[in-house]
Amino acid sequence: MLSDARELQAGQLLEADVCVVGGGPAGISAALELAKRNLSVILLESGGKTRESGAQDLYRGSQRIPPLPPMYAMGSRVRQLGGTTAHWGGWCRPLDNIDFQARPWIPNSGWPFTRDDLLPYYRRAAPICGVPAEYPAEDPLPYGASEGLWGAWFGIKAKRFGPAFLPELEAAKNLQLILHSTLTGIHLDEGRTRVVALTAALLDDKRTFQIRPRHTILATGGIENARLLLASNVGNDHDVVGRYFSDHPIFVGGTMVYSPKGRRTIRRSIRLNDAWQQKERLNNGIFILGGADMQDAAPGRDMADGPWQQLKDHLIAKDLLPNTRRWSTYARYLLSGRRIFSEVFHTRPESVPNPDSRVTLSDETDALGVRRVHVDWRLTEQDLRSVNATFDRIAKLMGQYELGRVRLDPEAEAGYAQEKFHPGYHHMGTTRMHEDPTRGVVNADCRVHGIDNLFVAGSSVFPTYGYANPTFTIVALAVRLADHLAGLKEA
Amino acid sequence: MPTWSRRSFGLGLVGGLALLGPHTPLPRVPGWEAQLLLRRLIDLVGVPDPAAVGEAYLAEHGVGPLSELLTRTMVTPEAFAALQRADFEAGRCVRVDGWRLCEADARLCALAALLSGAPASV
Repeated sequence: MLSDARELQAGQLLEADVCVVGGGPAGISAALELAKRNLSVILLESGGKTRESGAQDLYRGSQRIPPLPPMYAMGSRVRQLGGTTAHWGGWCRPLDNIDFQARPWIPNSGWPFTRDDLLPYYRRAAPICGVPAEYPAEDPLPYGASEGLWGAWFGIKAKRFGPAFLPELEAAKNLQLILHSTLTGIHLDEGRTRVVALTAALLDDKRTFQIRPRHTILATGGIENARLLLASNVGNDHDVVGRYFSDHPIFVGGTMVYSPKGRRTIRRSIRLNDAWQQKERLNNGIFILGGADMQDAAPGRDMADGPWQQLKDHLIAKDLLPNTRRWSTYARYLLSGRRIFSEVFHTRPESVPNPDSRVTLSDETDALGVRRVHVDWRLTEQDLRSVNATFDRIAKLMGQYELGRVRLDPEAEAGYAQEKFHPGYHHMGTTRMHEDPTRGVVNADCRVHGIDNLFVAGSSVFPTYGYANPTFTIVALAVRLADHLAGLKEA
Repeated sequence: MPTWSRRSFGLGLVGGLALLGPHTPLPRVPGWEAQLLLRRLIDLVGVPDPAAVGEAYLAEHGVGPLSELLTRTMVTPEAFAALQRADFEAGRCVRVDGWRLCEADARLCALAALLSGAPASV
């Protein structure tokens, strides 16, 4: 059922088995799964069906520049039904095995469960995201695989969760989607072990109403989940909320020149496999060929297809014409591709979970009186060293197996050390998962430590980040959380 | 006559070419390197004054046959690929202007620089 906070009375009280806060990919996925299991669900969405400047401004905050660009806190997120899938590229891939492991050379690394534990939920996330369910667990390249040279397969479908799932949300009988309802407060009982009520507000006239759910899921994004907990002083007994913030540092500025053999061999993405990362004590990371303009041309397609095939893909997808930068990229491809086939690439490494990299509250408040955020993203020396070492090894293997040569733009390389790189707009880690409450905000069930009925969905729970775009894992975790809550009710 | 690897032969050849400075567009090689390369060239060719012989040869034939010599001896694709592989496998890699190259790559680039008249300090 679709409703709007404008239709509610000030002070009105709503009740449900579960209140899901946030209508992005995590919230929509969890809410629909819960509704299928016959739980009554209220889904609060702060924005409307499309972007609205007033709601979007609630995201405004401050950020440390560099590495973050101005307006990062607001511009990297979308506050509307469907959340940030309104502007995502649709790249989906499970995290790698190694991302879940506690690696001695990566401080604070590891999840409380394995990739195999999450695989059933990845399979259920696939149709939700509109991508294939099976991803090759091993992806060796034809040459150099024994020395760690692997590819990485992505499913790509830029599904806009808002319009895609609105009909299903409207049709669900035991689900009430309330647009324009912004959570402003989380209220605990005297013992501070249970959420007893939530306050939500309508931005238009500031009227407020209350929800009394049996369970609450915060699904408002990697920055906002921390903001809401901090603003309500909930779940932060050990000063962990907001810490370990990370994005993906995207470093554009390299060129690969392929030999004919390399042109037949190299995939869109190159990485060193888990065994070699362990041997060399490196962070996980990926080199994505083609640069940002070419990202979504052809998932997993061999480079042998060349620019003509990719051009054909774009023409079929009808997404080429509006993008003049993409045309210039093609022009360069077509002019150079016949004799020396080269591509620009960008790297997307994981970073070490860093407690000093954090989201905090600023003194400024938004239009509903909630304190805004300050985002201070900090990488470590190890992150920078690891990128260079990975790059050198991939360059060596490409040469050794006669696949081609690699160049890292020296200015870009120097700039990386000065924090001149692009964020991937993947906000992670601020309510990280760890069984020890002094090292994590939620436990393996995504429940906030010390609070019986408050759960968190989204990439804020990632304790280690990997290089994969987070949405696929976000949806898998949301489905898993829905199963858990449905199981609690059945028990 | 000593046995020379193709690589050493190539280096000697580059030196020899460089010593022909006044008659070609090649730049000068620094003094000690020039002496070393000249010595190697003398050993290789077996004539006491290869520069003088080369001067006479160039006067009659020009520089065209030199590239043919390079192609037939040092820079056959298979031979050079073997050099490159061996360098990469052994980790003999260098960074030049951001490129991650093996030593053979870099030296061939240096040869290209010499032949194109770039400063010889490479």
